[in-house]
Amino acid sequence: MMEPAVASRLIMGVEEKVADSAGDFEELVTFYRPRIFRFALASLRDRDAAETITQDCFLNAYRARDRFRSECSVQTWLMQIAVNLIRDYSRSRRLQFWKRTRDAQPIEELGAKAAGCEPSAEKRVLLTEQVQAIWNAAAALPDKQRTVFLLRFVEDMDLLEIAAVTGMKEGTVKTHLFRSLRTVRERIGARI
Amino acid sequence: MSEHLSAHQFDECLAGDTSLDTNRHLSRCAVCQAELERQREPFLNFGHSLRALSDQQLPAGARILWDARPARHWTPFSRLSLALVAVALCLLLAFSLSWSRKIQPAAPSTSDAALLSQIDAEVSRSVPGPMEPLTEFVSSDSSHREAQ
Repeated sequence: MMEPAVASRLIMGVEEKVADSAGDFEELVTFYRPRIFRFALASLRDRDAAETITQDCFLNAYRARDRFRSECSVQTWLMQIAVNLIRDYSRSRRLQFWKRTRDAQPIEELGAKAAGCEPSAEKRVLLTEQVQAIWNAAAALPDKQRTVFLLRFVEDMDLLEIAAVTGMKEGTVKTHLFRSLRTVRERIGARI
Repeated sequence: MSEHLSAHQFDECLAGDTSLDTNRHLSRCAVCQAELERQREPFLNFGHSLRALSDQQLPAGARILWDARPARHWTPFSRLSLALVAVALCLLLAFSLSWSRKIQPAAPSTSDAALLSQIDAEVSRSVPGPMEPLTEFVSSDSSHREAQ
């Protein structure tokens, strides 16, 4: 996936007021917004919350653009911001449990997609059940395990990328990923 | 290496951390290849489904509001710090109250003297306080008899 020109200029540290205006930054937003939204939606299972997190992520990035040191990719930087925002949001939601009125994303909207060819109607039902079961099991994981699990299986990141995004050591990421895999397998049992 | 991959080795493959030995074994062993595919498939489907859902749910044409203030979430830390400050204030108040009571000066000696004289008056009284109004009648009767 090619990064937009503005991202490359940020990485190269070209200090000619790169992406200084919101207009320039829009290019980054257009490119990375789907990914940030997807990770927030997978983590929080709430469309409105995912939108808010996406908005805040780019707003925080825009305000902190001067502090960006091209030690990591723009994508990693944005994902770091998103992971922190999601963590804060999850904690605050856990404390405000009395305000929780909405359910998780309804299964009908999930419309499971098979990795390969288009499945039959019967298989699609089973697939939807399976995917929903994995999502439910992932939602019940501890914060760090869930983040690592979703970065691996939704964002398709490797261990090093996950380590860069979460700020954990590679070994710690691996431990969290193994634990989350074991827990998800136990919870969904026969569906796998 | 044993005949087939262990559960841990399959987990390593799913985690994207496959060793050379495991890769070599997978390239030769159809059984392990099939087992890895079987284990990997639900997670691949999960990723595909969530990506599809996200594309569907992503609001089209929504723009970032650059002037907006980031939503503030009550983090446990801010709540905890607020609670700690409240507790600290309560403790400080309680401590200062008890301290001020401790160092309160003894009652002035004049009030002691007044109290003593009050007690003296009570003790030396010939008639109890509540019966004092009756003494008037007694004294007036006796003076009347004397006049007669």
